[in-house]
Amino acid sequence: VISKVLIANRGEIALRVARACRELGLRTVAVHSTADADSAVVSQADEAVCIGPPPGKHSYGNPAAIIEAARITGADAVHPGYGFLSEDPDFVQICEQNGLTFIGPRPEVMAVLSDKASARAIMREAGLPLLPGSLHTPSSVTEAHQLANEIGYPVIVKAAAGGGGRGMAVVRDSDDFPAAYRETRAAAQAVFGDGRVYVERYLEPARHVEVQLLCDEHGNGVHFGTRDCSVQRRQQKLIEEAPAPGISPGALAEMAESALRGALAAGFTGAGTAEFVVGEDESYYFMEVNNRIQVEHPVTEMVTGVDLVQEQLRIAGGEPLRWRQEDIELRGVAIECRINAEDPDREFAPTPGALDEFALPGGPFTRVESAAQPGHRIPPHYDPLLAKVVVWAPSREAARQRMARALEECDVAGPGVKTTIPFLERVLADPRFRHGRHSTALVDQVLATGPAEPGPQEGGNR
Amino acid sequence: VSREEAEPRVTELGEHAARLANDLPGDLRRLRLKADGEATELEVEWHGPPAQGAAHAAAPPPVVVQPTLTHPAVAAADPATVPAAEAQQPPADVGPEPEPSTEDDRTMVEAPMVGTFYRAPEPGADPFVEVGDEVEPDTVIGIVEAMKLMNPVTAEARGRIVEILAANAEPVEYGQPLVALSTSDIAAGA
Repeated sequence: VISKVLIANRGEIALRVARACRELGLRTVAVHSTADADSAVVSQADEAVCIGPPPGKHSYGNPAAIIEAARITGADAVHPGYGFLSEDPDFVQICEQNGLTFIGPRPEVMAVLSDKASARAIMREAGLPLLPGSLHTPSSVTEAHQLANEIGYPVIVKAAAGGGGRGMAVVRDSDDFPAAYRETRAAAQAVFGDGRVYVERYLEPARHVEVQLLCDEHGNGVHFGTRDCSVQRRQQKLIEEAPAPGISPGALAEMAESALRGALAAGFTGAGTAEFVVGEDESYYFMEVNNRIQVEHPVTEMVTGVDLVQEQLRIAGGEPLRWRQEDIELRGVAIECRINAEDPDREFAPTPGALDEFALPGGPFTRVESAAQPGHRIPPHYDPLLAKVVVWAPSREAARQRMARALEECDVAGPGVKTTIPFLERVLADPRFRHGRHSTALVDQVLATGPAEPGPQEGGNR
Repeated sequence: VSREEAEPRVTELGEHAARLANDLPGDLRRLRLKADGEATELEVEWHGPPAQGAAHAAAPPPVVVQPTLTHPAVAAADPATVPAAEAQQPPADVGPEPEPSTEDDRTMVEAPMVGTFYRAPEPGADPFVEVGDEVEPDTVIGIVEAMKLMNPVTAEARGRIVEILAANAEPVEYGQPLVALSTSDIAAGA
């Protein structure tokens, strides 16, 4: 049983977790870097501890600081949010060794599932379809190259320890393979401290579809349908929706059921996601498992009525799931837009700075998750997510229109601050998106058509 | 694990060990690298800073630094400075508001990490520093215990201790002022 939860994260997800805890009557401990001393979660949590300097590595990503903060405040559980230490099996083990309940899967399960190569192997065992590729990481360039030639191009070289869209390269020609392989290895070693990579067929055009799962500690599991995350730029998602559009209900159900089967076979517990790529012919292939709550979880909450973060806390407290699969019903369509402090006209470069104006939308079926506040500075040290705007409507078209209305209500401005809002509006208006027939190429296709509003840029406007 | 995969890891571990050796407060006694299958281990033993108390018969136990726990200041002092468990007290209020200094010559020595502050090398021993003491940049003013490792905190400036701001065995946040130094009345003597 959990009574006091340390939230080992920042920004909107820290606030999201704090709210779930408060609704469940759990006490909360916020931890923060010196850059976040006046953040919303610090004022809302029951207690707050400064754990380090701004760089994430020395604060939110520092296991020793988090364990010490838990010890001095008497917290008995740790919610890792997403990013930082959320998928670090060593951190899970350190929590356990210090008598803290980690809100997520067991460390040995996380170790297997967060490694893309071993996750592929275990999912294949469970009968999930995989793209042609290596089941294990090749031991030499020659072996990898030979494999790539057998698979056929294009192939993608991916870091086994990779995540968040980093540490991967698409190779379209056999001649380019050795260089790309070596570069990805070196990048993986530098970024993740693990140079292992694997090779698989690169599917295009493709859609990115994922399945939301909850599994308890008693061997029960339920899936909450699918989300489409195809609107992404260099693997960074911009718009997500539930359920995935333009794919037959039969294919979606099959995908969701197989994901659940695989997760249960791996011994997964907590909230997680299985990611798939889906071809034009509705063929689907398992990609990877996320062992944590995801940024885009609200769209699933909106169509199922289930508070996934509360359920994470219940599962970690040892409670059995409160549903069987047949109890889960999806209603309507939910869309999420990520409002990032990034300049779409300059390769989405982050634009940290002071927020003079910061007004977010409201109105019917419109939900906003944000930790930013007017007058605050966007710190340059962290990811540039300012707010998630989520809408629900009975139909996809109504949801799309509601989102367009919600984005219009946003007023975000400050010296040098740009946001993704104008670009999100262009995507929403694109016919391919409107008809739900887009692929992961959509962002590049929209960018290729040039900015919708040409002319001199005005500083500090959106 | 193939040779090709193991090599960069061992290299990285070696670099990490070299960094540690530089950062540690005393002379290195022994360092062991181990790469076994998927696991890599780095074991370090070292002599603490010049002894400040009674000699101790038992050899200090090795400190195992797991690769996952790399960045925080894992450098611990000589185990002679480890306070006994009895020094543990229930946590007081977390995050007391530091009093802003209005005097220009007042310098705060801040906690370098979250943990428990100790003013003395061991229970019952004299505190490292008292108000009025003159300190050098490398003078130890206290210890912050984090993850069972004792991290000596040095003054980082020349000066005279004018105030002790954190109590013995008090939980401290990162950046919390521990003692205040006056740097002016010492500067002339430099």
